[in-house]
Amino acid sequence: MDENNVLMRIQGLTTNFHTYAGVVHAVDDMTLTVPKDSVVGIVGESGSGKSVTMMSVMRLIPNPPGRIEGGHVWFDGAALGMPDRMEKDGPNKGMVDLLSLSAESMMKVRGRHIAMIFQDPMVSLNPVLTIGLQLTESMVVHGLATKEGAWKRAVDMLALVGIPKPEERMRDYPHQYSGGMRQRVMIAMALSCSPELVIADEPTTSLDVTVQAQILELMKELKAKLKSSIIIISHDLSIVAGIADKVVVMYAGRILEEADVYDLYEKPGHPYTVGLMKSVPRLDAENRERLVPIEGSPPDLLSPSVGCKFAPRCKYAMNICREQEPPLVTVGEGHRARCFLHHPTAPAVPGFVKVE
Amino acid sequence: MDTILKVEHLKKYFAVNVGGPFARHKASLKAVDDVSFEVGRGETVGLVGETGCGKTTVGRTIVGLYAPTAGTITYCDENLCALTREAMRKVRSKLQMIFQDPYASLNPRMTVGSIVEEPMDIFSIGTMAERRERVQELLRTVGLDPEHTNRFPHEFSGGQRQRIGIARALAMNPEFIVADEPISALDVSIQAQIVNMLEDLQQNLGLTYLFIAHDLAMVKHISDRVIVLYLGKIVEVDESKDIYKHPLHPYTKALLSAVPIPDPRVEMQRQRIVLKGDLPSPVNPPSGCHFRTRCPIAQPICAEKQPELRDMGSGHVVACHFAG
Repeated sequence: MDENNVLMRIQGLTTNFHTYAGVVHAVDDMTLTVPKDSVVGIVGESGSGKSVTMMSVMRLIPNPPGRIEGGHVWFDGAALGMPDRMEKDGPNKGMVDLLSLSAESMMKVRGRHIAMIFQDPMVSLNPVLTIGLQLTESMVVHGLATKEGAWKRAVDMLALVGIPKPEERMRDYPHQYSGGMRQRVMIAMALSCSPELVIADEPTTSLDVTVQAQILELMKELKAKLKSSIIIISHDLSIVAGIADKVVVMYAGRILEEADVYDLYEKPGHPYTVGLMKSVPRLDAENRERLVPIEGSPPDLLSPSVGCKFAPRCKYAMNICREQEPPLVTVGEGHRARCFLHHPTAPAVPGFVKVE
Repeated sequence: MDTILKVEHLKKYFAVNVGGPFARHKASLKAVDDVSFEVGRGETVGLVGETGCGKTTVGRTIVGLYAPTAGTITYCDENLCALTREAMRKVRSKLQMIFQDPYASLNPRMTVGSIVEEPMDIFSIGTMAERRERVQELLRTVGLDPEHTNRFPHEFSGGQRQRIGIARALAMNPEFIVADEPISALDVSIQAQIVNMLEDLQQNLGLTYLFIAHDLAMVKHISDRVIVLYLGKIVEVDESKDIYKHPLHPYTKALLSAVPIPDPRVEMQRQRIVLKGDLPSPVNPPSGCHFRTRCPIAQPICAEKQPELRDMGSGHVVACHFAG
């Protein structure tokens, strides 16, 4: 990958929650690169740390109990307009570590440079403020426009996301909008300041299939029109398939696999990814085949097992998997997987492609 | 085929206040409006549709959680709607329900043992020792450790809780189970475990399922026949393997094309039929065909005349003026 083309680089991010029951290792040594003008999909089940990673990037982890205990979140310094905070040399030249910023500077980043679309549009809009006020707020706060200018732009944004009669609907309250329309408002709000990065945290989970299709089509359309990178978080491999350029699979707070979208679906390099694909029925399947579930239950993050976190549920687990955590190894161009099966001395197993 | 359940012209209206909570004017929300279908013994029938289409109401009316406004439900030659409370209680043991949210459908203050035992308690079946024995057996059937009878629901994961809910539904040796979105609250990797278990139970115990869900891929996988509902009305019924190949109703076509497929090559090339707008209010549904406001092929006739369900051969039924 071109070094100048990096928008954000998460490096060794570790976020823990200190609870009465013990320390929950929600995100452990997470490393992820987001190129400019791209869509990255993050897939994982509940508790895999996908949302916590993004909340850490936004510095929205409630402290206590949560604490970001290590790592860096490098973000393109030129885009942020913070020349004095940029790294002078090294691999992260020209980048700013978001985790080192003061709370005040971080406020200038949120909404302006990194915006978020939350899962549940029913609870993430303020019920007592009009849509217009909520849409214009961030533009005015970031000093991008006067009140009148922001109002005009907000009307345009509503039209862009497909709300009919946008001028009239600006004065409405959230309860006058349906679920799908509220999610469109959330998208308009996120895009209103033309941020470099939009984080969409399960943007369609609470919506019906037909409305989900509307929102996904809208996001695809906007991706082509606007110059933002998008991180889309989902628990569903099929949702990211149609929109992402690159997909990251998370489990127990770590990346298990990262690949170009075509590589991931065609030659998955981790038993967990394979398992996820086999455990969901496909609409275009010809015959009714029995599903192959992933046995066992998701890991307990309070007392993580030694070794590979997926080993207790893995069909192919070897002795070493229970003793040592496998490193994330490169198995192809831009394709990394955390599995000992890729080791040269590992046995070949049926149903699993060893990527050289 | 031996028919186990027959639903005829079922209607369920709810009274709602129009114009705020203190308004005098009452209107009726037609959650289920003239729905008829049959379920054969040992069959799995899928009931699909968007939120608010009435699929849950149909399920709950069948097990007797709602009294129907009109219509009849015939279960094994007995009209459930005409039964006395006492007679209904007896039949009810054969009709069980699995609920959507395993976090809300188990009493947090009861142990797993007493949750599973409760139906047998209510019907005074066996001695205490026999019931205990049966609880152990049921827990084994659903893949839980019988040692865990004294634990409480919060000590279990979502998938395990759903297993407890299934064990409770099985306690009375039911014949017919209404599964209301039994997997939608579970993680992807757990969903397949529960679906496979439901399939095994059906094989071993000869159960009949009414499987309510909004995940069409899963419904296609598990059901023999699919019923598509829109605003309280049936729009299409067909064998599940056929409906996916040859849907006739424009709503079914749109629903199917909205389902994402986990394959980027397929997904990038797909032409989606994206429905405009949202489901209209069931209090005030559109005239004529309810679907006409979102239908890509609507004509003037759709606003005037309500399409009847027409038989297109081999059990394929569709309600559209332009189908076929």
